Amino acid sequence: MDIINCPVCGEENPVSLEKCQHCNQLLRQSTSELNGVGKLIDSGQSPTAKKTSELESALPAWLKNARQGGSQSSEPEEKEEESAPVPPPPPAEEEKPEAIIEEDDDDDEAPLDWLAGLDDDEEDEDEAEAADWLVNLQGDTTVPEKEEEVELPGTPATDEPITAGDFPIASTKEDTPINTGELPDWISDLQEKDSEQETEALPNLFEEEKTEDTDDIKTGVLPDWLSTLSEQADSSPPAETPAVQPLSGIEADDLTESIDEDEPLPDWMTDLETSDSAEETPPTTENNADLPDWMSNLQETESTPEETTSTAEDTNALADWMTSSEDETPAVEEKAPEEISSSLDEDTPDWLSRLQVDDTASQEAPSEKESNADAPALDDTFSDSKDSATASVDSIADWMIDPDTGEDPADKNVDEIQAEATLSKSDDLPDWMADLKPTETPVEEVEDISAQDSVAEREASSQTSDPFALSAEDANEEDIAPAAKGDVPDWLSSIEKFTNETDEVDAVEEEVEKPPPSSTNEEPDWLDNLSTIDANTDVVSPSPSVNAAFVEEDDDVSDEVFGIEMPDWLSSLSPDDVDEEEMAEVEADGGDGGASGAELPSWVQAMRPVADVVPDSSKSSDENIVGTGPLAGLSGVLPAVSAMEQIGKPKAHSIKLNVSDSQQANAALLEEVLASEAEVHPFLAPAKTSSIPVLRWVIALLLILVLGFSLQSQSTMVPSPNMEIPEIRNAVNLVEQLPTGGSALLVFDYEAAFSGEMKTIASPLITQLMSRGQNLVVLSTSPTGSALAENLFEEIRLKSDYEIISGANYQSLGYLPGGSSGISNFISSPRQTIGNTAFWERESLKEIAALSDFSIVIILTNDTEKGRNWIEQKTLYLENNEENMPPFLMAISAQAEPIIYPYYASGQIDALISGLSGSATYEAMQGQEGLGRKYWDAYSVGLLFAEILIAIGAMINFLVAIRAKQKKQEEGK
Amino acid sequence: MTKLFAPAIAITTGVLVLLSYFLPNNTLVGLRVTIVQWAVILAGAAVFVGISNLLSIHFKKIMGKEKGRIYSLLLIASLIITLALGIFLGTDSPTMQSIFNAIILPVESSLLAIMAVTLIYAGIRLLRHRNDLTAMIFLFFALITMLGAAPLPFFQIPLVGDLIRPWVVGVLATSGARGILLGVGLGTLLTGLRILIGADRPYGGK
Repeated sequence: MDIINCPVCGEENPVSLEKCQHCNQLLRQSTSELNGVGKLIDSGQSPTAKKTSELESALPAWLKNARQGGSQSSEPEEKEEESAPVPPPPPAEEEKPEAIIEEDDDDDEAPLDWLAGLDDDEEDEDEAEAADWLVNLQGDTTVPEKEEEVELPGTPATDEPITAGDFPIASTKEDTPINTGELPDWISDLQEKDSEQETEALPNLFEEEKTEDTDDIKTGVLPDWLSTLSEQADSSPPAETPAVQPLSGIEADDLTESIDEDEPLPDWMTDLETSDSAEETPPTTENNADLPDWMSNLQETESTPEETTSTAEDTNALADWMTSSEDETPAVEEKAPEEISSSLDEDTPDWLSRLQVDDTASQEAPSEKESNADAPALDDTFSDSKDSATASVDSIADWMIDPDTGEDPADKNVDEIQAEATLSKSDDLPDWMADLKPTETPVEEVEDISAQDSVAEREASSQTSDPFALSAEDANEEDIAPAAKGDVPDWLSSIEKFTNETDEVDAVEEEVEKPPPSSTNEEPDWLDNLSTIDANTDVVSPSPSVNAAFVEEDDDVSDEVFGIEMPDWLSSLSPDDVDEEEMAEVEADGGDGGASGAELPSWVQAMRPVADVVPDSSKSSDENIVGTGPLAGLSGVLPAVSAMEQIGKPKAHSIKLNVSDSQQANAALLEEVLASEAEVHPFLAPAKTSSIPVLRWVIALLLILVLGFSLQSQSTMVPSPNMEIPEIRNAVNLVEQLPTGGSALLVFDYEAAFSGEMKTIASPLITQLMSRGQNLVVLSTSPTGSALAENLFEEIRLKSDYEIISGANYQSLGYLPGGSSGISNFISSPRQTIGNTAFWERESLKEIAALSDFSIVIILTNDTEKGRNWIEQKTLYLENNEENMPPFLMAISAQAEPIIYPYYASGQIDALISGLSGSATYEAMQGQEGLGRKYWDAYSVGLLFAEILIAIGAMINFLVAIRAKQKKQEEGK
Repeated sequence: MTKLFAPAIAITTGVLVLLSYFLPNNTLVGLRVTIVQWAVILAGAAVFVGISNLLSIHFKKIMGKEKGRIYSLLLIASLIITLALGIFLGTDSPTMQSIFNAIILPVESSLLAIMAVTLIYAGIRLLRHRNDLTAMIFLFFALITMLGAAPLPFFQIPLVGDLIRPWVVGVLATSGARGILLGVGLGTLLTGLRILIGADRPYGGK
C-alpha cells in the first residue's frame, strides 16, 4: 500500500486520501501553478515587480491596527524565547541594526491568526511567483531528471553544461529537502524518498540544520516554510557570523578548503566548485523557493555572508543556476573582482552578472568604511541587499515588516529610524527599484564634493563595471531619506529621488529628524508620496550637469519606471564615457535646458539629457538645439524656421507668350470674324432666274430654221445613201418575193410621237406591198395603233397612186391586249384571240386560220420591248411550224436599232429596216424618191447642225468649267 | 385565306402553262391557250380599271380644289368626250381619226421634237457640269455616230460613215445591247421562277 507523508505534519497517510488523517491538511497541492501559468522570466530580463506591499495600503484600518498590536505584543516574548538559543552576535554583527534582527525574529514566528488571510494571499502570490520560476526552472526539466536520479542517484544533475541562453536546471538533490506544503506532491515525494540519502551526502553544515528541521516539523505547530524560516533565523547567526566578516580572498579560499575537506561533496557541489563557487553558497533557503527567483537571486547575491550561511540548507530547494549564483557570492567576497567577473560571465546571465558585480562592489564599500558611525557602514545597495536578504530569509512578504515596526519613528533614535527606514524601504521597494536607487548618489556627490571628485570616484567604481556603486556617505543619506518619509512607499521615494537636486538632499536630511507627519496614519501613503513628489518637482529642477554626469542612471531609471527601452547604444553609455573636459564644459554652461524642465512632461525630461551625453556632432552645433517651446533643449529637431528662410524670392516667369505662327493666324482670323460680325452688310437681292431657257429656245429656233430651210429648199446637197445594207436588201427581196394576193400582217406598235420617222420607214415598204397586191391586215398592241395605221394609209393615199381602202385591201384587227400573252395567243390562234367571227368572214381573211397563213409579218415599232416580244413569241411558234413560217420583217426606229439588230444578226428576223437612213436606203434600192429622200437633206443638215452646236457648246462649256475651276482654285488659295 | 388562295392560283397557272411548252399535250396546250385568253381579257379589263382610277384621282383634285385642278378638269373632259365619241361614233369614224391626227399625233411628235432640242442642250452643257473622261468619251462617240448616221452636206468625212459608224453601231452598240438583252432574259426567267415558287407575290397575299 502506497503511503504519502503529510506535507504539514509529516505523518504517513494512504495515497488514496486527499487530506491528512492527523492534521486534516491537504496531502497534495494542486500543480496548476506548475503548468506554465504565469509569466516567464527570461535570462537577462529585468524582473517585473509584483509588489505585494502595495496591498497594504488597501488593507482596512482595523487590520493594520491588529497587525501592529499583534506584532508589538508578540515581540517581547519572541525575543526572550529566541535570545536563548541564539548565540550573541559576533562583533561584526553588532554593526547590524537591531531592527533587522528583530525583524528576522519576528519573521521566524508563526503567522498570527490575523495574518492568516494575508498570509494566504501572500502565499498565493508567492506561489504564483514560485510557479513562474518553478515552471521555468523545474517544471519541465527537473521532473524527469529527478525520476532518473532516483534510479541513478550518482548521476549529477549539473553535468549538463549551462549555456548563457538556457535556463539553469535545478538539481534534484537540492530540491528534495524542501518540506513546505506549498510545493507540489512530486517534490514532497522526492523529499521523503531522498531526504535521508541526501542529508548524508550533504556537508555537515547542512546536516545539522536538517536534523533541526525535522524536529521542528514534527512539532506540527507551524507550516514547514515558517518553521524552516524560524530555524534559519535561529541557526543563521552562529553560522553566518564568521562569514559576515569581509573576507579576503585568501581567507575565503581557506574556508572553502576546510569545507571541502570535511566531507565529500555531492556531484552538484563539485560542479559548483568547478565554477568558482564556494561551498558557503548553500545559504539561502528554502524560503527562496517561495520567492520569485529574481528576488531570491538578489537576496543571495546581495546578502551578507552570515545570512547566506544561515540559510545554507535552503539552497537545496533552489535551481542550479540559483545555487551557482549563490555560490558565487562568497566567491565574490573572497576573490578579486577580476576573477569574479570572469566566473560570472561564464555561468550567469548578463543581467544577473551585472547585479552580482554591483553587489561585489557594494560589498567592498562597507569594508572600506566600517568606521563610519552614523551609518550602518553599509552601502545603500548593500543595505538594500541585506534588507532584501532578510526579507527573503523570512519568506514573508515585504508588507509584513511594516506592522512589525509599528513604532512611532519620532520615538526612536536615529539608528532605529535608519534601520526602519532601510527596512521599510527595502521591504516596500521592489528590488528592481532598489537597484535603481544608486542613481541618487550623483546628486549627493555633487553636493559634497566637486564634480571632478565625483567623476573620479565613479571611474574608480566603474572598474568593477558597477555604475551603481556608492560611497558610505551616500548610503547614509540614502537610508535617511526614506525613513524620514515615513510611510512613503519606497518606489515612489526612489522616483522622487531621481528628480531631486542637491538642495533637495538638505531638505531630506531635515525631514529625517522630524517626526513623520501625523497625516500619514490617516491619509493613504501614496497621497503623501505624491505630495512630496510634487513639492520636489516644483522646487527642484534637474541640473544639466548632474544629468550629464549620470545619464546612465537616469536612463535606466527612466527605462524601468516608464517602461521605455532605451537603445543599446544609449544603455551602454556610462558616465565613464563622458570626458572630464566635457563635464566641466557642461557644468560651466549652467543650465541650458533646465529652464523649461518643470513644464515638460516627464518623458521629455527623461529624454533630454540623452542629447547632452552623446558626444556627437549635434553637441557641437548649438544651432540645432531648440531654445524655446515645448521642445526646448532637444537637438536634432528639424529647423522649420531655417527651412522657411531658405525660400528665396519667387522665380520670375516670363509674361511673354510663346505663340506659334499658326496660332497667330488663327487669332487673326478670329479677330477678322469678330470684326466682320460688327460690320453692317447691305442686303443683296437674289439674282432673278429666268423661267425661259434662252439657250434652249435658241437651239430650237436654230434647228427649226435649219430644218425648215432644208425642207423648204428641196436641195440635194446631201448625196443619197447608196450603201448596200444587207438587212435592207433582205427586206427588199422579201417584199419582192411575196406572192400576189397574200395577206401581209402589219403590226403597228409604235407611238404617235415616232409617227414622223415611222411613216418615213413604213411608207416605201407599204407602197411596195401594195404594189405586190398584198392585203394588209393591221394589228396593234397599242390602243393608238389603228389610228396610226389609218394616218399612215391616209398619207400614202395622198402621196401615191395606191388605194388603200379599209375593208377592201386592208383589214384592221384592232387592239391586241395582254402584251406578250396576247402576242403569244395571237400567234398560236389568231382567230380565237381576236374573236369576232364576222370579221374573219371577210374575203381577205377567210383563208387565215393561223399565223402561218399570212404571207409576211411586218413589225413596225419604235419600242424595243414590243419588238422583242414579237420576236420571242414568233420564234416559239416557228419551232413547231418552221416550214410554214412567213417571213418576219421589222421596220424600227433608229433608237431601237441597237437592241433589235442582234436579233437580225442571230437570224430570228429576216430583214430589218431602221431609221431614216434605212428608209432612204430602201427607197434608193427600189429606185424611188419618197419621204426618205425628202427628209434626207433636212436630216443630214439637222444632224450636222446639232453636232456643231454640241461640239461648240461643249468646248465653250468645257473652257468655262476649267476657268471656273481655276477661279475656284484661285479663290481657294 | 387570301394568303393561300392567291399564291395557289398563281403557282398552279404558271406550272400548267410552263408544262404545256415542255409537254406538247393537246390538253395542256388547250388549257394554256384558255388561261392566256383569260389573261388577255383581264389585261383589257385592267385598262378600263386604270382609266377609272385616273378619273377618280383627278376628280378628287377638282373636288379638293388642289393646285393644277384645271388640268385635271381638262383631262377628265377630254376623256369623257373621246369616250363618248368613240362609243357613239365608233373608232373608225373620221371624227375620231381627226381628233387623233389633230391632237394626239402632233402633241406627241412635238414632244419628241422638244426632246431633240433638249438632247442638244444636254450635249452642250455636259462638259460644264461633268468634265471628266467618261463624259468626254460619251460625247465623242455621240458625235461620231451622228456624223456617220448621215452624210455631211457638201463634203464627206472619210471612214466615218463607211467604217467607223457601222463598227460603232454593229459592234459596240450591238454587244452592249446583247448584254442588256441577256440580262433581261435572265431576269425574266428568275422572276418567273420566283413567282412559281411563291417567293414573289406581285398579286398580293404577302
